[in-house]
Amino acid sequence: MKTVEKIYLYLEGELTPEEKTSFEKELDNSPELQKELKLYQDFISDVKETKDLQLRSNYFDNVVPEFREKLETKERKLYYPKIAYALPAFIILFLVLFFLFNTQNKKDISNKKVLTSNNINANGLYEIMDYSIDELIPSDLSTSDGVKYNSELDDMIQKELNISSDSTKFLVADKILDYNSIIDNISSKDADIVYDDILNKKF
Amino acid sequence: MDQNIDFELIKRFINGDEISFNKIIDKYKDKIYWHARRMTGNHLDADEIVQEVLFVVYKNLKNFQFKSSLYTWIYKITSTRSLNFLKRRKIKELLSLEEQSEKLHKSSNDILDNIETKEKLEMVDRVLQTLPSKQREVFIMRNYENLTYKEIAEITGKSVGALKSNYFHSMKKIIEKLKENENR
Repeated sequence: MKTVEKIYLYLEGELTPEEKTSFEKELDNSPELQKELKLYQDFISDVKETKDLQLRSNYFDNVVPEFREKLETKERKLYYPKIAYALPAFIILFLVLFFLFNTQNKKDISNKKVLTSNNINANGLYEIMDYSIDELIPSDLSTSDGVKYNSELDDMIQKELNISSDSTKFLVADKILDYNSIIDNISSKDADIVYDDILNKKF
Repeated sequence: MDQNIDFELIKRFINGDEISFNKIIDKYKDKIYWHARRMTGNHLDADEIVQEVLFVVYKNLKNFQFKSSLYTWIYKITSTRSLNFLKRRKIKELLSLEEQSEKLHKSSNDILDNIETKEKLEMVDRVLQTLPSKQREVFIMRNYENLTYKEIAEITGKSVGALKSNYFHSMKKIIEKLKENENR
């Protein structure tokens, strides 16, 4: 057993009575063992002397107030990042919504683009006419004037289809489409047939 | 009796009484400081650990289980925080390539009153700082706090055998260091 091990067991009180007597005998005869034991015991006594030291300043009086101050700062720091994260998130959300709304508007505008004689062909014209008729609401149809096209559109149609101004009245989408008179003139038998057709139609 | 008072203070704190927290800290702040001080070897680091421990205690006291004593619970937090702090400090020292502890050591003992005890404390600190942190911890708990191996095991979560081994090695290193100092 090494010297340090013996010292450890001796100081820890882990030696049997016989081992203890033997160690103390060895201690009497070994200056090296005496020196090591004394060095350690002196160190432990220094440790004990520094056990209950008093601090000069009022350090301990300030521990709690300092902590309270830091706690407040920490909690503020925890609160600010929430705002810091929320603000960019709100801006991003706003931009996304703005972009989506704007795209939808552009789509609508592109569908209803201003027509001129230079940027329309026959197919385009039919598409626009279909679109315009689909967009009509019943109140538009019930007006006494019916569906009207402006004179510019008339000119465009005549120019594109190469027809005279008189011939425009034979077009499917006529200038005047009087739905009221059609409904007034339909017989009750025809009305029943139309009604049954509508009922049986699968949409 | 003492434990009942602690538990009563905890309950009051949980119910929103902030003054109870101050009372708890007033009772244990010395122990927290001195453990941290002996582990780090200087006042500035110890103060940082104290504030860290108070913050952890404040945030976690609401979850206190009333299974161990408040002293054991706070000591456990102090021990863990001190060891973590020492790890961080070691990394910082490695990165900055300078002996920060020595630098701090000189400036930080100024808050001690007595010059003789100040010198003694510096000598003890210097020897203790040569020990690996876990051996130092056991040495401090045994010699300053007079804790039994069983109590240390409860705080550190280590076996009594491992703690005895740590303490033996700390003693061995201290004797070697003291002999080395004597031969200089």
